[in-house]
Amino acid sequence: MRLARLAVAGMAAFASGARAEAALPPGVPDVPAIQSAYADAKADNADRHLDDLTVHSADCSPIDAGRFYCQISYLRARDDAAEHLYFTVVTMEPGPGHWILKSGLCRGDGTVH
Amino acid sequence: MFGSASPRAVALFALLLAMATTAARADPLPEPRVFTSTSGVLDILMVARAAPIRTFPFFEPTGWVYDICPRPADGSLSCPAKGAGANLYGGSRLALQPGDLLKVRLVNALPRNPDADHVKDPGHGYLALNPTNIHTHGLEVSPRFPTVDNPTYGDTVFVMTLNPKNGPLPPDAALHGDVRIGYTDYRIAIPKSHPAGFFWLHPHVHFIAMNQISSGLAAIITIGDVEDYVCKDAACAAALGRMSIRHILLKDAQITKDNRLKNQQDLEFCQKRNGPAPKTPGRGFCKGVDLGAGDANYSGGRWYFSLNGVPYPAIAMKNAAGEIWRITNTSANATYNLQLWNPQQKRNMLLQVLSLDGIAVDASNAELRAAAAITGGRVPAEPCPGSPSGIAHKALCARSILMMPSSRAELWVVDRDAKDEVVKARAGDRAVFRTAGISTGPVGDHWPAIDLGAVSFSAAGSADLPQALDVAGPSHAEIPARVAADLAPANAKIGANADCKPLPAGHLRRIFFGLDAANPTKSLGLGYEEIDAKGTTVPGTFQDIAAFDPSIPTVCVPLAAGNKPVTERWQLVNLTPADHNFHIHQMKFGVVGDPQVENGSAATNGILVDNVPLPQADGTCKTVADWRQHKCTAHPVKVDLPFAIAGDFVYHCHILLHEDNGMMARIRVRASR
Repeated sequence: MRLARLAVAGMAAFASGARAEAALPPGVPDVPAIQSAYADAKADNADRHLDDLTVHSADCSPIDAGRFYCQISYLRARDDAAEHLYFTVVTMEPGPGHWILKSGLCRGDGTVH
Repeated sequence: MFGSASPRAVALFALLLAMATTAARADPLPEPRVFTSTSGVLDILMVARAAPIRTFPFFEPTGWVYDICPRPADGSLSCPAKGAGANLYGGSRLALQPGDLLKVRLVNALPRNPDADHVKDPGHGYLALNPTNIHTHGLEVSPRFPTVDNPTYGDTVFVMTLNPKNGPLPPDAALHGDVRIGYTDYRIAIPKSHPAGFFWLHPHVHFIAMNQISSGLAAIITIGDVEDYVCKDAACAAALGRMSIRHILLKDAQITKDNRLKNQQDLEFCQKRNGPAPKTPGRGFCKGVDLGAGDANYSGGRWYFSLNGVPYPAIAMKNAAGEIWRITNTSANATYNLQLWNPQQKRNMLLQVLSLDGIAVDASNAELRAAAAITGGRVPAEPCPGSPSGIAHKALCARSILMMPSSRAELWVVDRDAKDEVVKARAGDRAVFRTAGISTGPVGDHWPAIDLGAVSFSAAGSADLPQALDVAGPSHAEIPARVAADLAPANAKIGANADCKPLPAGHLRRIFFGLDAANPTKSLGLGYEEIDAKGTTVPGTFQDIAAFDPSIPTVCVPLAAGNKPVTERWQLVNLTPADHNFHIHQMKFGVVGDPQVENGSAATNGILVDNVPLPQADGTCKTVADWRQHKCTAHPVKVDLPFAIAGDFVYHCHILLHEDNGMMARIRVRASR
């Protein structure tokens, strides 16, 4: 009887985990994921984000609870200094099927020049 | 013997014994550790980290040091362990040659620093994470940013490196540029035409530069050798060959009685403002005082003023020809008024000044009476006695050298008789290297008189000594053009900017040093306006005094056609009743200090510097409007700035308490259109 209860609980947990995995973005944030998250953030608040920012590289490490801390570099199309490659850090948090930009790359916080 | 004594009594006896022993013994002055370039490259790992300071008597506080080693091939981010006797706090020297490439991997392994004042400022709590960076002070090199092809940095302050162990950036962080996690790679190309001399390296993160430098972060950089500009003739060279070359970092550290290094310096540590000064100079330190009820109590602490980390060392010369001293003020705030006191003659000895701020003096075109002015008052010049007829240039001598923060001076120190003539020392001839107490104004600071080192001259070697050393560096007027030519590819990559307009002929830029107009009780700042040939403010150019905003350049300067250098005249107006110290990155400039010099280019008059004192105003001007209404009398300093290097960099007061409080501005130099 006890074993049966454990098995049911285990299956429920497995099923729950499977649902969660289907909802969360997989693995580690990468350049396209961060670019996409930046576009989402810009859609929410255009004033604090730029039209010409292109994420060039990303190197992410886990913080906790699925969040990542990422060293990224980016380019700006309209920069007067040719090929200026900027570096900053962003915090990424998993959302339903995509990544959310939680901090960094906001105009006014100094990470966007 | 101590069988019945309490542990406290034993400890007290040991302390007294140590005090007696230390009082009788002066440790020798060590040379900084040297890292020399090979085959045109110096490739180093530079770890900023905490380390014990073991050179201070009675205390062993923890400072912050640069732990430097050749870059490990395995990619390691730490240098090999050091022995207990390592004097990392004393500093290091990076020995380079013109045309070299300096490659630095800067690792931030510093602890958190929650005690920095500006951690409390909105958006700046992240400064408790203790981010750091480096600036190669005085080098005429590119401040370039990374590119896709070369993701390393030049000499830019607009990047900071975080120690990941100190935690992530908070979301509200108000940053000042790029952010790197763990380490940052710099690649700094030294122009082939870079003048030989000595420079230095220090952190430059706005708001906490003082904390990091006060904790000990500094290193010196030499380009070329003394022989490149001193003693070109054989007789002089023979004497120079017998001299020791010393590299001396002036450094100070406030140690509280609980053995902690106080990096948020309190400039009243040893003397309450307007209080009595200590009656006699301390030997390498002054004693902390109790500032009274409700204020700090520094009793039992000491403020050490050390040479290469050693308070009051013994400086024993080995030859009658004396020594060359290459002195760098690496203190964050302290101003030194350096002298060499001769106790037998009861006066300060004459010193020959070979270079200032790393660049050889060229007195060939300067009248000595103007020399004090064109050094901004740093060198009260006197003729060197008995200059031989064969000397190519006039020699510059002085009995005191004013060294505000970041200043460098290179001196020939040799025994002299009562007529100031160079003589072969007699056994027992001694002197005291010291800084005289100095005040920087009614609301400025009172810097204590400190005996810095005990000097003993040597009678060894030949008595055939020159009266002055021949100094012949590169033509000052030609340096900017040569540097611009060497850096042409880097300058071209910066690109032009249509909004960047040249300063019209006859115009000058005026920079105000004063209180932040928007926040006068909390911040300092810089203001700006353009002045036309009639001395009138050009409409629309005035910017009131404001604290540093890293995102907005105050001034944009386009290089001349073909990216040739362009020289601008600036007028620096200090509105406060305290001295300041103007410094601008990426160049040397001339001080226009004498009416007779005014019509020519200051850059041809023998002295180039990278910082200049701005004397306090008489009276009180809280605003620019006050100054225009003559409520105070300022004493403007004019400088000629030869812009030769494109990029974004800064100018600021190099008293770091002032810089961190906002007295800094961003400047943009762009390629010609």
